[in-house]
Amino acid sequence: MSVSRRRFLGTGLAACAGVAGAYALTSLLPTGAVGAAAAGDAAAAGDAAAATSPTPSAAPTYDPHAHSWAFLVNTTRCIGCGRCVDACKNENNVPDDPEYNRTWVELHVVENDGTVLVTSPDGGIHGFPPEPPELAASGATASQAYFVPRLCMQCDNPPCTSVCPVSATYKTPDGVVLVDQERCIGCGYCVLACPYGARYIVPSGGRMPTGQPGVVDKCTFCYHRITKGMRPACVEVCPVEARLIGDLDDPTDPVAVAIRTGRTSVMKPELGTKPRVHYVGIEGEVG
Amino acid sequence: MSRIRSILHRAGARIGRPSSPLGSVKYAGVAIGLAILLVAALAVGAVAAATFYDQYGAHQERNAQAWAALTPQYAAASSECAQCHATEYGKWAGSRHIAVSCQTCHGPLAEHVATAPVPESAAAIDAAEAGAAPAPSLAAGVAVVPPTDALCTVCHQKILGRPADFPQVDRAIHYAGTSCLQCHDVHTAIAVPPPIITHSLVNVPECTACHGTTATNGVKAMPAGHQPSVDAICLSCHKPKGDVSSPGPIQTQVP
Repeated sequence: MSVSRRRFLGTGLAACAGVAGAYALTSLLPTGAVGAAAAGDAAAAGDAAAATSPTPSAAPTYDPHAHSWAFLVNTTRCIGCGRCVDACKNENNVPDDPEYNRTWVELHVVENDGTVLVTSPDGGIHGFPPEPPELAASGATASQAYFVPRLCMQCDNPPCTSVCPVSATYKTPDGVVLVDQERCIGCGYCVLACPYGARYIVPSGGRMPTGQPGVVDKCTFCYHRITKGMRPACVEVCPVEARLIGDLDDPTDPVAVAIRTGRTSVMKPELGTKPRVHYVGIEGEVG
Repeated sequence: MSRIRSILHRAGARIGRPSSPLGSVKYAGVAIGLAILLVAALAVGAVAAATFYDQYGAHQERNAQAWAALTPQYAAASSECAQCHATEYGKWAGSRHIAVSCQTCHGPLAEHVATAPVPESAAAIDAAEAGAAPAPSLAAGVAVVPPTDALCTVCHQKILGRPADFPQVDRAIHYAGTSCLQCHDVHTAIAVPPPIITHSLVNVPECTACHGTTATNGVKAMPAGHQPSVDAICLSCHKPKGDVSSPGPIQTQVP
């Protein structure tokens, strides 16, 4: 067998071009295609888990690019029963300690002189007393009082993700801010960066959302529920429809309509965080 | 290393004599070997590059899928409860409490389903719920919150901050010491007070605070011929059945 210099160089060049071309093609593939393979793996793992679980544990058909989640809190309806706080803890394995909450309810009392008293006994999980003891102690009278349910704002411009040194907290294509608790190093920068106090560091012992202590946890809009077509647990149990979840990609969704037509407000709009949690009936001092 | 050098040396030595059949074979072997090495290096590099540069996006996508794969505890809708509890569900479905999910009061369904014994029949469930038969499910430790007054008052106690149009009562003067369930059916949300409501006579306000000259909050007014008076006068005729200081409900009666 004889190989000419021309043939050697030609064949070698073609082989190199082929390899380079193949690599270029893999680079051009959208990351979704790589993720789709991973999704297949996850779905297979989910099916294995589903065999021993009464409920489906994976949503293989869910497309995060086809949804845009938003939340509407109607403070004119909230009765401060605290069922949402209780349901959130049960659903997400949030620590029992009242200092750790993914959602909580505050009572805002505007006193006659304009000062605002904010109380949230145990995060509101057991409801509220007929009148906050602080109000009786100060001798002031209330000119206005209402309950304000709180949760992560799922900001479109989130300060928390910017400060994370290991990119453990991030934004999903459907608008939810999540924390990778296996990657989180528990430095707490995001806890400080959040202007809404929505984050906490999971204490060891007791209930832990992913069984991992020392990492940051926060509201996920019940990501495991909304990706299965279910409402978040707090929305499911709210007896007065003060909490609603909606999809901004669905033009007929009542929450989307309410937000689009500007009948809602957000907390601390001056910070430019662009919250996805909108409120009805909050005053300027709420935040 | 010396082997490679010798191979290269021999290959270089053959370049000047391409017509030699033996030299061509060796030359081709070296070329193919180098090409395979190049392809392998590129392939390894491509795989490494794909996982390294995509890492920040890929780990987040995997993590989002891990969150999505968690198992819900609360059922998607109250209709799931109707599979076993059709009678109570039917009452609730047509009531003012329709906006209140079963799980708002009774807690998450998943644990209940996991621990509840398989019911014998719908009739057995109805009987147990009506109190006519012992509930086997409760004996088995099923995680369902039984109805208590605290569950009523967590929403319906009159407190500061509650919207004015929401139905609420002050339990201190609304049949204090009496169970809500004595008058109210929680599933229909209809109050059907019995002719005589038993209530404690301790830790309650003056009789006339509730039993005034007009009926308020559904509390029976004093008869037309009565004059508002102090408790001692009322109790001289409306004798308590039993010890007035006992915390339990005491029925009053006219001798």
